[in-house]
Amino acid sequence: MKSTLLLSLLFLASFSYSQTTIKGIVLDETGESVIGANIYIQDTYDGTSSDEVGAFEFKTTMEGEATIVVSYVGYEDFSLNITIAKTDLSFNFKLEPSASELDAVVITAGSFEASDKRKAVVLKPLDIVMTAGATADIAGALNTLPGTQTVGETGQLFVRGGAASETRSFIDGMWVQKPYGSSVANVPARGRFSPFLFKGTIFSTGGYSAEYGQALSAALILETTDLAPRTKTGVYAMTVGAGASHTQRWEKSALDVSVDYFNLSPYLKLMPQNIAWDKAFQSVNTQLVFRQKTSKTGMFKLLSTFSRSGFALQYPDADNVLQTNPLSLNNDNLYLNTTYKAMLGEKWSFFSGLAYSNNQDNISSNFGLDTKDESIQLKWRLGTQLHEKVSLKFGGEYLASQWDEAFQDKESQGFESQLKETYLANFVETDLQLSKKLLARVGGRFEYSQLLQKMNFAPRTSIAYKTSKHSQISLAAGQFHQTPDNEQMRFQQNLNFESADHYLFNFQQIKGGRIFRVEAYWKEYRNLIRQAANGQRNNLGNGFARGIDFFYRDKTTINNGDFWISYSYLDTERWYRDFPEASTPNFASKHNASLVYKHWIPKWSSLIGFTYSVASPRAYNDPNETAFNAARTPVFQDLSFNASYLTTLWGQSTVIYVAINNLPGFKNNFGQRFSRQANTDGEFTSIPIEPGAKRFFLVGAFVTLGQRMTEAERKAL
Amino acid sequence: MKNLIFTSLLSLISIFSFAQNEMYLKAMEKSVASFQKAATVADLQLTANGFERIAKAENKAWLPAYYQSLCYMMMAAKSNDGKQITTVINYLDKAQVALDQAQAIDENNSEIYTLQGYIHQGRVWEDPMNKGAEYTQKSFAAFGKAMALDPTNPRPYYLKGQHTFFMPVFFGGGADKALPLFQQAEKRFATFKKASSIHPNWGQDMNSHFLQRATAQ
Repeated sequence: MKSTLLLSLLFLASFSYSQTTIKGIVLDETGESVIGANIYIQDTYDGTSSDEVGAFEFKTTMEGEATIVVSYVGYEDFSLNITIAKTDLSFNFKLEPSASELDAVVITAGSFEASDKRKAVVLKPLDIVMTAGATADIAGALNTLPGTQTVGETGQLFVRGGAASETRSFIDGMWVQKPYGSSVANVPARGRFSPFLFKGTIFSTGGYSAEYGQALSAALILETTDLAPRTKTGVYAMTVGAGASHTQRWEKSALDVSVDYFNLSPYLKLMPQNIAWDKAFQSVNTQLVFRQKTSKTGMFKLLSTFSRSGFALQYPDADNVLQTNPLSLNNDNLYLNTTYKAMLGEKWSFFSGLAYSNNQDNISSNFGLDTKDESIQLKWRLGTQLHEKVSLKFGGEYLASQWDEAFQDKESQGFESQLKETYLANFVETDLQLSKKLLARVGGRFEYSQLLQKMNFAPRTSIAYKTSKHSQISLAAGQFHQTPDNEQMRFQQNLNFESADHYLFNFQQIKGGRIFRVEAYWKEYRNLIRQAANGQRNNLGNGFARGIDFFYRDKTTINNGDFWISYSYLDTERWYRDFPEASTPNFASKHNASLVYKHWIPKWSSLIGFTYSVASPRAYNDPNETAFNAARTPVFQDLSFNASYLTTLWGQSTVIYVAINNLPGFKNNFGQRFSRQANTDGEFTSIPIEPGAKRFFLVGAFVTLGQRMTEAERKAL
Repeated sequence: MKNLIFTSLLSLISIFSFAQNEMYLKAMEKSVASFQKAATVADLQLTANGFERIAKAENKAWLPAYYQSLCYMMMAAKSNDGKQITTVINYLDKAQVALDQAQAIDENNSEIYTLQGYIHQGRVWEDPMNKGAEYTQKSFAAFGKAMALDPTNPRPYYLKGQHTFFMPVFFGGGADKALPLFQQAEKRFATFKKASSIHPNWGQDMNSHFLQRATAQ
């Protein structure tokens, strides 16, 4: 018994000394030899690397069934079951490139993404902050992307022939009722939210997900940052204001509070202005941000902002051009956004959110106008991977809002208006990975508006196909509906949703720090509100917008330099509101182009940049002319500059920031505002609409305290 | 009789496992020697392959996977010339996968945390402007853990020093901030005793080099 066992063991041991030679060659997908690939027999030490011509040869003492593995960086592991007898073996291996994140097919039609999440994004969050001319305003930075039209007198986003109200902003999936600060006609507004709040921005100029609704043209989808990495305090002072913030970080939660105070009065006194200010713009903003990591995948976020702002100026009177009327605006805005996100088990992801918004504007002039907007929104969403290649998400939302307006003037009694809305929506969307190269997204959105007593269904679909390792094409088509704005609804409620159909075709190539995109689109407007001669409103309005957008970004050609060029061509007309015929609306310009350049100078630890923007003339209506919308603004031009110098002040990290908008002082004009009635000569008098000042200067210092070593780090030394 | 079979079997098994262990040591010693000689990315690739083969066969030992990861990390560092970002990212990804394998075998190991900090440092090179803050934070946290797990380990001090040395003054870096770290590392390198012929024992030369540079500035 013993001897047999010993014998057989010895037998086995002696066998293991006979050797077999395994050799061959390793090639990549194009037939080029792979140098340095690892070839080995699984679970043994036997193996080798391929040489300069991709050839390999090694000996193994293995016998029988075995697995040979070939691996190389950037390629999929290749394995093959083989039988090793005493005869030598020879193989030709061909490796396939691994499907890395960079190469994965993603739907890009219509959307520009700025985030760190994926490697293949067009913009990074910092790009938004550092774009010259934008002075850290989100809309200002996005206006340098194709698909937008410069409408300088508003400061808002106008996308592909759509009005500003056709673009909706969302923070963490929740609707933002008032994304811009309050202003009066022809005084540009700034975004309410700091770009530093967000780690991801998706700017969709069309064809976006069924998760978002009530926007005929575009969706701006903002995602807030997670837990702040460490405790710190910051203070800043600028020529137009000052502020302070403190961030406290605990192990699983973080709290951030900040206060900003802006007062333009010293600046406006120093710089000549076209606007006669009685009281310069002033505002106090407070912000509270709290995050709590509730589990490995769970995150609770709270964002709350409150701001109070106001100004008073002499508003030119178009009916009596020698006279101005005092006008003041005071605004209170409260926004609250809370969301919770977590995985439910292994397969389901869950999201829920609640947003509350309360905005009050009080305008007083030779009339009084008080407006109050209040809304509450609830939303939920579930997502799951049904199959390796199929993912599904669906959800619903509820929105209740109320709008109140009170108007008084000296002559009349005044009147009050109120609109109450309850809005419900459900959506479902699925991503189908049809092949490694082909991704399809199909979804739909169902909406109901109690105010309109109408419902709608909006199907949406997009497809992306990888045409090569670095390029892909995407197609998107979809329907978009929006409740007519309050200016229409206040007169009449028996109306229907306004609608738009989008068709997009997109090509994108990303290769070694260079991005090229081109997108052609067609947008068909239906059911727009039109005002008949008797003042009655109907849904008979229509229109179209078609065009092509180009974008090129290059981070490689110039050392330490980075630039992008955008160009948009737009052809649009619509017959809506009080238009007597189909015409190009005032906010649309045919050609828009921007050049954004940023240069990092390591020696001075400074980032400098400039932005040049140009837009072709826009149409406006001159009642002194017989033809409608026949007058044209001049060409718009702007060259802005900014510089950030990173240094230390009293041992604390400090950024010195300088910005100059419209450095050469291009004289821009946005049209004319006309009198309501013709004067005795039968002429309509007018006031030119111009920027408040030719140039804008900003100098600021931002100091971050507490970037130093923590106590624990100090102790470790 | 039964007993005899049992003892002989046992001794045979132990002979086999001894032989196995001997084979492991030999293979590791050979690979560690070639790691010490490796000067180019190509050399490191061959060395990494050798460690990978051992790592795949030995799923109870953390060292082969650790060295494999270290080779790829060094390949990433050597390729970091600002022109081949994709290659750097590929090497970093590969280094991370191998390190995860090592970490799964030995959860609380100072050397593994040190290398983790080094890989995080590599992520900064990918995109300093956008990833600098986040990954410096992660890197320093990993070094902190490595220091806590083995206060005698010089490598987390050296690597933290190196990162600090190249970090802009604005973010709390600079030669003067790095100097005490290099000094701390130097002190530990002088007394460091590696656990065996195949345990990590690298970084001393580079640390002396940086110590000199930091002192000079």
